[in-house]
Amino acid sequence: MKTFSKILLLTGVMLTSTAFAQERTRVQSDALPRATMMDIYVIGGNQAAVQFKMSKDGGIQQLPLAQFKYFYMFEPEDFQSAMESYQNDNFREAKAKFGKVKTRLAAMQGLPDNYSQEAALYELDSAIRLLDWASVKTLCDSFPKQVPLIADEAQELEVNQLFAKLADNSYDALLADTQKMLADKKKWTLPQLGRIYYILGVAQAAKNQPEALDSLAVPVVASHGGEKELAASAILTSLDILLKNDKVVTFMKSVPSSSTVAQKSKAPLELKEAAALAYFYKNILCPDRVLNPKYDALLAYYTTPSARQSKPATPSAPAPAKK
Amino acid sequence: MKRSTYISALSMAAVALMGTGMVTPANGQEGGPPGLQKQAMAAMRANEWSAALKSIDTCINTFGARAKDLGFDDKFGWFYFQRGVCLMQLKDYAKAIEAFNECYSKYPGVENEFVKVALFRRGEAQYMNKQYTDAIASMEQFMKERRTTGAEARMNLGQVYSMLAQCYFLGDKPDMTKGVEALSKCVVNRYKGKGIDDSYLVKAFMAMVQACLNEGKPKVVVDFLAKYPSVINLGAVRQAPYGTELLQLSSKTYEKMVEAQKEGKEALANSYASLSLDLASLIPDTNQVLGETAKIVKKLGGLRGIADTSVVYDKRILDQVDKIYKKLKAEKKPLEGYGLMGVANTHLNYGSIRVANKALELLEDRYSVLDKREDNLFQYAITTWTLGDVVKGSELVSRHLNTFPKSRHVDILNTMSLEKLLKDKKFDQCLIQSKKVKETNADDKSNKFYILASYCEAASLSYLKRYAEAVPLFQEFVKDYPDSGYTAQAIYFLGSAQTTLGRWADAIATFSSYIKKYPAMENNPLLANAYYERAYCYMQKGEDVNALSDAKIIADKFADSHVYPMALVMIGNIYTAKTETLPQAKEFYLKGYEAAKETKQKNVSSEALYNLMANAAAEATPESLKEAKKYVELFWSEADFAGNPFATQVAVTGLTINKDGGDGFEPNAKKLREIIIREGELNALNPKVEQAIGSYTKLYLETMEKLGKGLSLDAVREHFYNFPGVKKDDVSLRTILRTAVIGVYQDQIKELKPNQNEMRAQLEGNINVFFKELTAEFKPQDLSPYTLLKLGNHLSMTEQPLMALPYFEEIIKRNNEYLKEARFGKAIALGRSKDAAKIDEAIKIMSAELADERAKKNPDSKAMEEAQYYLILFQKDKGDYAQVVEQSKVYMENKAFKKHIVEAQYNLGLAYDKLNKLDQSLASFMSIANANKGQIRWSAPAVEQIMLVLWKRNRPQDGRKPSDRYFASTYGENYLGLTKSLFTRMSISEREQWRKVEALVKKYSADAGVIAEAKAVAERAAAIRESQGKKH
Repeated sequence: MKTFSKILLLTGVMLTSTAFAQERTRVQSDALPRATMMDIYVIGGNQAAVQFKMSKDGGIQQLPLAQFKYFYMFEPEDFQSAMESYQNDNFREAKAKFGKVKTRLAAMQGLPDNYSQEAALYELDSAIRLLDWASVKTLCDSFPKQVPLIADEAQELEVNQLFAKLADNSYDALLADTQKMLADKKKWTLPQLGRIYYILGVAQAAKNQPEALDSLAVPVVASHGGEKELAASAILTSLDILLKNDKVVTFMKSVPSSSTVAQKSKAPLELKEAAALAYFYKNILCPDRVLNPKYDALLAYYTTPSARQSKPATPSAPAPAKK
Repeated sequence: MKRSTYISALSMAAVALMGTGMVTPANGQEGGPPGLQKQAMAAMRANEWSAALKSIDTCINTFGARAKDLGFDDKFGWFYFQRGVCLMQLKDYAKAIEAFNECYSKYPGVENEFVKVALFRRGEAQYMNKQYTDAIASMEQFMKERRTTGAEARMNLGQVYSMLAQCYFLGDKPDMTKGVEALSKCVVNRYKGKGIDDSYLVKAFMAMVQACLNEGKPKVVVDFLAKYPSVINLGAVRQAPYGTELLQLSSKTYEKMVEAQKEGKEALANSYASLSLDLASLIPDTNQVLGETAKIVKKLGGLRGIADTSVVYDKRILDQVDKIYKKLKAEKKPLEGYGLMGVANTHLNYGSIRVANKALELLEDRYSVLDKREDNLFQYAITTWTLGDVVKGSELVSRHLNTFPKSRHVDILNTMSLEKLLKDKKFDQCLIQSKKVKETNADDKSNKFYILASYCEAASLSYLKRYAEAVPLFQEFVKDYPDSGYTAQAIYFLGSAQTTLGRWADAIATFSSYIKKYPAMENNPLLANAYYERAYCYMQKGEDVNALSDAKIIADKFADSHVYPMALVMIGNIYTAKTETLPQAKEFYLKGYEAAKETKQKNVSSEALYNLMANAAAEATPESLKEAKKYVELFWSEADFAGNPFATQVAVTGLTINKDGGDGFEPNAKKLREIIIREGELNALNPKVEQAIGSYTKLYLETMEKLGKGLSLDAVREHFYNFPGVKKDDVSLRTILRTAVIGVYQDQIKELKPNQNEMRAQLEGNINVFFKELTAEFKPQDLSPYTLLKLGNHLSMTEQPLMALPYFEEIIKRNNEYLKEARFGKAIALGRSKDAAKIDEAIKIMSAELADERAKKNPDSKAMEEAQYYLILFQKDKGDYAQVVEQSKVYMENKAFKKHIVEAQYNLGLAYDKLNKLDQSLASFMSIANANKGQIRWSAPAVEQIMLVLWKRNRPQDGRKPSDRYFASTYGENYLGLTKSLFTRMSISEREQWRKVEALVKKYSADAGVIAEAKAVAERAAAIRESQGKKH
């Protein structure tokens, strides 16, 4: 076993003597006094060397990672707390907590399955859920990459990094990137596909491309509504597009919301679509949020499923008599 | 991953507690309590619950009554507690309740470590025994009495609240408030103290969902989830074991939503919708589950499990999850696919068509083997259509019908496949289907299907060439739906139909509206076509300047369009009408030919080459004839194809320009023969074939004569009887060839001078031989009714029409097929005989046919029309002009008779002329000329007659009213000016008719009286202009 000073020299890890994070880790190594499974307290390291203490109060030791037959880092309590906030959809709190975990455990970023990198992933995801593109950009730029992510996480990061370009309004780049990624749609999980389409839709909307509505519809369904923030944002962006649609504007002018149901039923498809989305947002997706009053007028053009079902069947025209 | 059942959780807890609760060292014998306790513990660790129970019961039965005497005090409660645990494992809940109760009541002292925990265990046993009220009491008692030390202090209260919540939700009368309160506490306490199994939360949550569905209170869950989403929002791996149950609950909730909608309970339905989507969103993504599971398993290494800070991972359960989700993936039945179906249906239900469409698209792209694909693909097609993507919608309809030929949605899909029917050219079917769809959607004319059907109905009629019916439908469509996705095509279709009907002005207006409405060239393939069609209509109206302007727009701006080569040829045609622009004509024909060659439009290149050839041949200089021959060769090598409308004309011209008998004669004669055979086989009724045979016969016989190779009768017979390429059984073509030779001989007789008796006798001899051999070879009794009719009809049109009679008589004798046609043929043959008695017989037959038809209940109006028309002709041949007038009027007054209306009117004009009723005669001819100006075959003879009648009437000039003869001259001149642009498209006979008018104009304009009057008119006009201050 090497001495601590040598470890520092070998690994270049900078540790302050007073603020070592020490995380319980179950290990097994012939180089340790007990060759069976045991818990140690890891304070940092990388593939070349792991720094640890045998007990919380013990001295710092080190071993190359390869000398551990088994190496399982337990979930830190602050990570678990951040995760609880995340699972409660409290993304602001989660982002802050994950950020702290990431920093606190920075010395472990060279170790496999380390919670600093894990926290960084969740911190980034929380920023996306908060639609905080500036944070996403910053987090992407500083994402810890000392150890490679597993394939699934790497793919998720590939998608999430796209959001950073929204911070710069780099719509042309996003149009190109997303179209390239969508060349192989089946590569992505449904939630990932929803995110790619969300970005594409936002970029298309910014460029006044009519396909934006189609793209923005995907995130509403891809995670089955699970990523409510993106779904809600996609709907509101769609509503903004539809509110500017010539047919919608003309019809709403000529047939105001106070008109009869029969008159309003002749609304163009675009207005019917907008009304349905506004209703869905207000009553089903986000009943706990206040719908911006600018969309209220749309609701007057909506026919609820109940009203549609209660509409009496119209008898078909009689067949003409033989002349 | 935590264990997912209570029993496994309890067993773990029990074993854990055993380790800390071992009792007394008092009696160490094997048969004493410590020994029995040791045995029981060993059995319990080995999951041998019956063995453990046996040891425990032995101890209780042996020592229970005197436990305290033996010094065990309340620690003996251990045995009762573990008895309860074993009985729980053995699912004997009633006895377990009793055991825990005894632990609590018999050994209440502090020495009994399990005395309070027994209350909780009793509650659990009561819960398992569905005694929810009792369980609640036990749990609440536990919460009240529990200590802060010992076994219960190490317990996670989350599990107690979970049990409580479940009991509140699952009771006969669920207490939603207390249940929600307990579940809230469960969520809040879950990470406090020792971690608990996820199943405690999930089971409680699901109990809440089920209770809320039963009670019709979905909002309770929606609100709870909004406040405590982490109750079930655990991440893909931890949610994975509950995927199926979550899917079932989501589906049940969706059904409740539909029920509520039916009952008009909008708010309730919305809550159900919200909950259904929340539940669907919890169904984990298969790939995520597999990815995360693999990551955890890798972390576990060789361990069977590990208790992490907030969760216990059990490799056995992780392996099970991995196996199940891999199987679902392999079977292409991932749970999220079904979840997505629910999402699609919810959005569909709420009218978010585009969102639903995207969900359905994902389903089709990623989960196309789901057992509900028939419905999914159907809805995908419907929503795609509704969103206006007709092309993709059609493709999806085809995909659906190909995949599910017996689809239960076939009726609706047929509705949607209207466009496909059009594309597949099933116009009759499309017409019927369109009408049905319109009827079905008659209550909402803004409905997409109604609009589509309206368009398809009119388009089908147009394709079926029922243009007169299609026009009003297209007009209505364009008016009602000025901005539909089909309006552009509808306007174009309308213009085309109007063009076909010869409504030039209407068509021009329609195409102009198209050009104005859709002026953008991008993605507008019909724009160039509209210009071309409008140019064509202008030409038909004689407005060559406008036509040229449109054609040049195409030439300048639409070089990539399909009509580009056609427009170039059109420009050539316009320039051909004037001698001075013939060089330009040639230039554009050549350009058109090159362009058409490049785009492989043989029909266009053949027209260009034909006109180049015709113009060169008409110039008739040695150089131009050489050029013409070159175009003929190019035509055959590059532009010909079976059915080419110019083939017979090119072949005839090719032979004509080689009729000098040089080297080119035989190859061109051979070519014409081949074309006659080819086109005759394609369409025996093609009049151009008959004309070509006539031309061939004439040219062939004349050239042979010119070359001094005048063919003997035998040689002619040999040549035409064994015409190369004609099949033996092609009686129709063979008879046409025979009669053509007869026709040539007959024409030659007509041209003979009266003193050429020898030649006449020779020709008549030849004709007789031909007829004789014709009748000998084609014996009536050997021929089929159809051949009899064809031969009879051919012969009746020769100069010896009576030769046809035996063939018609044979049909009549057989009294079977074609009887009516044979009687008609016989009458026509008799009527054309120039024998008054036979004409009378023809009139008698026709009158009888007419009378017969009139007497029928359902008269054959076609036959009646033909009979009435022939009566006119017969009377004319007989010279009874009063009767011609009478029969013509009868024909014209019958509104159902249209086929020969122009001929009837023409004969009326002729008859009036013969009867010297010149004013009426003029009126008849003018009516024809005015109504059919563009149709040369009608207008040219009528104009000729007008000029002749005016010349004959010869009224002098009356003040400013011109004289008849001056008017005749100017009338003809105007007509020539208006129709000269059509000259290139006129048939040979039309050109001859047109030339007759031209000759008359030339003749009349040279008349001294006409010249004088023209001069006077010109002087007067000049004087008027001068008085108005104009130079010219």
